[in-house]
Amino acid sequence: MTLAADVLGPPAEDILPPLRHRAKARREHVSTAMLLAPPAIYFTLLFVVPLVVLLVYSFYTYQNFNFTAKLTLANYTEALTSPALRDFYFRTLKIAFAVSIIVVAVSYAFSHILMYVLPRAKRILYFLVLVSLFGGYLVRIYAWRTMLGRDGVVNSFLISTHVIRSPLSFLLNSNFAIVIALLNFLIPLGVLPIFSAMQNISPRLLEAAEDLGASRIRTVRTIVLPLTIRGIRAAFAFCFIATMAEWVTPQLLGGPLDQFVGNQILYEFGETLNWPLGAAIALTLIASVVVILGVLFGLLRLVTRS
Amino acid sequence: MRRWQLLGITCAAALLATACTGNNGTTTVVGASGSVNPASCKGVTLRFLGLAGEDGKAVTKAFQAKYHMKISETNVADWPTAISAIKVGQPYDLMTVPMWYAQRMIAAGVVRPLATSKLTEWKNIFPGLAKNSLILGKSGTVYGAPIAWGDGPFVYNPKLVSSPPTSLLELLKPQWRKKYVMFNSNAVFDMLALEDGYKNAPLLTKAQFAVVTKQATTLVKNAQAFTTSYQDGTDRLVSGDAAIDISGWEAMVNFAAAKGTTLKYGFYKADLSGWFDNLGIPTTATHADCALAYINYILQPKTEAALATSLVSGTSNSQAVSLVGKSDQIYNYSTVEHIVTSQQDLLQFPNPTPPNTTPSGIMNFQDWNNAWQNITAGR
Repeated sequence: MTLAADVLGPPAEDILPPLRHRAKARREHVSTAMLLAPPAIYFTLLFVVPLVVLLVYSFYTYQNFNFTAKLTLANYTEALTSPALRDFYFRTLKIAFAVSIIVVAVSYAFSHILMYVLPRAKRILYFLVLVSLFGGYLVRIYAWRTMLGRDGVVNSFLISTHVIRSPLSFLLNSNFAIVIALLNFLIPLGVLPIFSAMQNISPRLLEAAEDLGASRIRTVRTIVLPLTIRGIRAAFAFCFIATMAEWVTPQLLGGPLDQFVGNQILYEFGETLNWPLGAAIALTLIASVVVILGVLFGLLRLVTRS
Repeated sequence: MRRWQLLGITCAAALLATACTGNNGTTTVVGASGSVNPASCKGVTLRFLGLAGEDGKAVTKAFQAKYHMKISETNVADWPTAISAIKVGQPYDLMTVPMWYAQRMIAAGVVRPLATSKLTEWKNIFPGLAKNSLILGKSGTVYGAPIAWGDGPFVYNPKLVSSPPTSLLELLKPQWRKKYVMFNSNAVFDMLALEDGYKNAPLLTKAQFAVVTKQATTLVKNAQAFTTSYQDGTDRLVSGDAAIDISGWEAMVNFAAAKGTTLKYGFYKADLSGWFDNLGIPTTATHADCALAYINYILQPKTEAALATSLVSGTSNSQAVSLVGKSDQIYNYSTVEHIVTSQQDLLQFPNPTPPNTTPSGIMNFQDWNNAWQNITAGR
């Protein structure tokens, strides 16, 4: 005890601690609620409410270009059993898997080079990755159309260098064009989570591995890879979800038989005005994406644990 | 407990939003009695939704100045977007009602019926348009005022096509593979049916539809891409990625000329198709009386002629033909002069898709949709 304490007695904090703490806790609750309110309202209004609206519509009955609040499961039956829709789902799924795997592989290699091969240039290269995100998505799609077209940059170059005699037709209005444009859009977004995960790895761990005689490949396999698995998961999920929901790229760069399930949703909402079926297909798509990612990540967890 | 309360509130809000956005469609006839009331336009901003130029903004300056009113335009690249905007309750006072989607718009409660008795020029509108079944509701009520019409050409890049096709069926041959673009629309069944000589198209029997579906499968398989709009079609022809847009518009030649490229248009021998666009009043309109007065002004011969000229289209008013510009003289007015019977109506401006309910043995709209879905799925 100090002299002041002897004279004045115990401090006020010790006499009324519960009261002070309660007031402080209440203030903290209020400030937390105020901080969370804008994103919560935003999320509820722009994501949860539209989703529930979509859910409600999906049970409505469609008749003569209009729909009524007569509830039915027919739209889900159609969405789940139509062979044509199944083909659209599988076509989309195939491209989504291909794009996501390529994005993760390229992003991982790129992030690894940034972190461990060219550490001095990592800031500028990382900045360039971010800059590439500034261009509008539609602008980029039209740019790809110009580059991959019959008289585009790629064909012109190949013809002028006598590699080919006539323009390659598969470059545009094909799955190839769709995949190229999606990779261009998604790779920077794949680099972000993977690079962040790599940055969190302590250099001491790598030094220890090196001191203990581990090769570079073994270090990556046993230390870097397990510690960046969350980044990989995030990159994969982001690319997979974005590709599954695509409709603009197939419409502008794909051929007539390269349309995604998103284009079919658009067709139902727009051409036939069958909003209930469109909503059912959209929700089935969301559910299938959640299930697929759940299964994949579950398997990944099992593999990494073992 | 709190989570459940939050979920309950969210669901209630969503249901409320659903109820609010579900547009039931006002069926009141706009301006049911008396005459049009242009004074209702004083100080009003009329919100237009539709094709660029069809708001008539450029040709109604005198009307706008007289009533101190403005036109705000929202242009759409496709009709589904326009229909969806009204269905979710977005407020517009005036909109393009294209013949292709008119019946869908009427059935979906997107547009209001018009009091044509109030439109002073209605008697002079070509009967082929004014009495066309595509803009009529069940009781014969009119839902759109025709403002422009045209034929159905294909547009091609003469640098890439030396001898254009004379029939749509020609494009099924291997030499045309990946050389043409088309819309992602089941209306192509109708074009093929007309080429096949099925005079009752789009009312097709199962056997006729099987033939048409087979041809459409090849047509889609051989196509270079689906276009999203006439401008998109023009871009693809200008860039040389496609040689022909199988369902074009003469205005594409002008679009391309502005980009320094020469495009040409031609017609299939058997093609009997044409199009016409209308102005309608959406069910979400808050200035419906002004919109009707504005439509009345648009239909006046001088205004109509100016509008048709600016749109490179045929005029809908028979009194305006002599006033139209050069660009408008490419159209054959004999196709819209006669009194329309139901049969002629089908031939001149055919509905490219069948109704939802058809007589026994005739394929309906849903059958067409299912077939189109199978084709685009690659089945």
